[in-house]
Amino acid sequence: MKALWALVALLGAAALAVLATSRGETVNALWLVTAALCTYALAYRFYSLFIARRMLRLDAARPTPACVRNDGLDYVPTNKYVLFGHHFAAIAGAGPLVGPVLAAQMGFLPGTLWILVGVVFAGAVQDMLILFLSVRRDGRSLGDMIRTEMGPFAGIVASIGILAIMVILLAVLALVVVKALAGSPWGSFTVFATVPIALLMGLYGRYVRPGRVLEMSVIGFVLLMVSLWLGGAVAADPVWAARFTFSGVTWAFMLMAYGFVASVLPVWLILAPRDYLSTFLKIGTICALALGIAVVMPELRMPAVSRFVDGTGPVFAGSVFPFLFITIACGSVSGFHALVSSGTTPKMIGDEAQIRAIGYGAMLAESMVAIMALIAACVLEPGAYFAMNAPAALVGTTVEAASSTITGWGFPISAASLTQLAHDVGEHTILARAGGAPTLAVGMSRILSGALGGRALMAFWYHFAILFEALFILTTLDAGTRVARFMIQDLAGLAVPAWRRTESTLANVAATGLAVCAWGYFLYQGVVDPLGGINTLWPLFGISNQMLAAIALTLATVVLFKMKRQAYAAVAAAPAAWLAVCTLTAGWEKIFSPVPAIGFLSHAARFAAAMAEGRVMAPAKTAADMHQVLANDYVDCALTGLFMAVVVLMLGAGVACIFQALRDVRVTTHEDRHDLPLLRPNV
Amino acid sequence: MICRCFGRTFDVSQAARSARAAVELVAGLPDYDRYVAHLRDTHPGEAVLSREAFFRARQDARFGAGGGLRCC
Repeated sequence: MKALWALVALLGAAALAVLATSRGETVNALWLVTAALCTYALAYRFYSLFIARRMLRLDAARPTPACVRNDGLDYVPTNKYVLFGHHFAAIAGAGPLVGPVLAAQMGFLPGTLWILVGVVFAGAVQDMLILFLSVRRDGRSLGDMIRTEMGPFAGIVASIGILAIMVILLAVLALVVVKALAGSPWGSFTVFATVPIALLMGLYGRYVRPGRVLEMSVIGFVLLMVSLWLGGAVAADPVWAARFTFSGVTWAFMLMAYGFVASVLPVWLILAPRDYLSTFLKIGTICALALGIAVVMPELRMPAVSRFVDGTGPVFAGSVFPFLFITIACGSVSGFHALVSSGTTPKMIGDEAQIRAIGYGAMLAESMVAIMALIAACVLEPGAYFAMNAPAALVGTTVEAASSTITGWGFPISAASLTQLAHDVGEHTILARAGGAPTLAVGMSRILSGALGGRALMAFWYHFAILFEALFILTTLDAGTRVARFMIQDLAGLAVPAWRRTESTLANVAATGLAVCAWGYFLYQGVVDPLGGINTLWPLFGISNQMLAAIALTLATVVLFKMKRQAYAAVAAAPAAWLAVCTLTAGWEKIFSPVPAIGFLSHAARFAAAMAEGRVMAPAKTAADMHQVLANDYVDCALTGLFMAVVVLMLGAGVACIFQALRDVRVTTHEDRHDLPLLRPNV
Repeated sequence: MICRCFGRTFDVSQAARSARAAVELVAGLPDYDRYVAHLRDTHPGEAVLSREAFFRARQDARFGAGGGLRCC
């Protein structure tokens, strides 16, 4: 057995060496897959076992909430593999697909290393620890646990932080959809079609065959494929194509209206059926991509390390440290998972020992999704990658201008091949489609058409990939708006209790409206931004997501001290410290950097100077636009400042709790003891 | 339906049922039959929700306040 693990270690090291030393020639993607799989196997076998046995002392004999409170509804002991699927479906989303695609501008190596190191020591550790904490506390939520372990003040600070991250998350995901669908009649038609399809599924599941989720999803999937085929016909017809061609701004307002309506309507009508469909499509497509990569074995055309590690990249501004570490969040470490790991999963674990497979294991699987997204971006010619991801303000709006600028950067690409690529995937243009989804879709269509259908099916696979991403982003959008609404009601209820009444239509509509306005503001700002918006919003999202991870790991550290297991505190404290350093440095640079592409204040100063001279600078077309740009900069600044303040306050609260725990000789944590009589009523 | 292969017997319809239940649980819908069996075994006499009511209650719980957080 030992020899086998030594072999795995050797193989992984060899694969990493091949990746790291490749210069000038292409490398096969299988090396990347091998390096990742070996790393995951070793980390799971050794590090997660160490955490499970030595540090947490998981006790298979200890009853879990699912056993004690088994009600057949919320608390149900569930088969390990089924629960793995449930948990994986809840943590995997657009995040691990977008971040690595953006990070590919620095070459495939920096992103790969952060994904692998990050998941082993931070991401999977966080998911496992929070799941453990929640299982030991009756499946309670992250906010709840912070309140009981770190005090009410820390609880409120964390709640505000969680609401802010929701707003930015929804805005940036909506922006990804806008970037993919603006000016694309094929994509727009299929995404429109998902609404009646979801309605039909909802009615079927409510009245025809109640509760048959699988049946209605199969029906939905078949209709989806029909709409995908119809979309091709629509795009080919000049009259219909014009009817389904929308600008980015129009899409932004349509998404806001959709988010509002879908989250106010009864959930069974549109929100839930869409959720079922996107869950199955997500898992199916991820498996298809994995198979595609294994069959096609594509070559990575992107260099291992590109010249843009110096921070001058067109996709996002800023150097490797700290910006790579906030650009790739999901896939290496994502604070959002702390919310999922303290949601439904802890109520379904029948055996504490499974925390290792579910918490650590599912995150490794998510990390593999990020690696596959990175591969999909890197199988493109680098020139095509930059043409798709660089903003029009930098490379121009024609294929000729784009090809000459990008060739000038050292990534040769001809105008004809850019036109050909757009034609292959059934689009008018592929320029300036930042945001990850289209790049991933082109990469996926390369891989999948290589496995099935050849060039003839490339357009189909491209729009399939766009549809798949748009579908689950829209699902996040409506479900997320709903969650944000509950958070707003909860927080506003602290001041005015009437807000708390979730059955009141007025409070519901007002809170939903507030939630939509909040993310809609950032979405609109991103859509009209000449630098593409992703440039500004993705770092904000990354900062907020990593901030949440730092908070979750701080909570875990505090509890370790309270449990008198501080000998192992570094397992949680080290990644918490690293994430705090990354988010605070990135936040500081976003506010104060003298480079206008990075720093909000210096960007604002440039516009203020132009306004003083009476000049109008792009993207502004009028003096009023200039005021808007300035206002946006200050709002972004304030939001970044808020994130930093939340991190600092939570770290402070954490340190205070640790000292308090050290002064006490007893174990001071608040675990539920199921061998004692239950204190709380069974809710 | 019972199927025999390699000298073992399999209940195909039972296997299909559990496969469907597993897939539905991945999408957040617990198994109705298991819920009924659980109530019958451990809380005899308690009112059992109909399949429709069970489905509605689960959907509301998944997308209601405090439920159903999924990642980006």
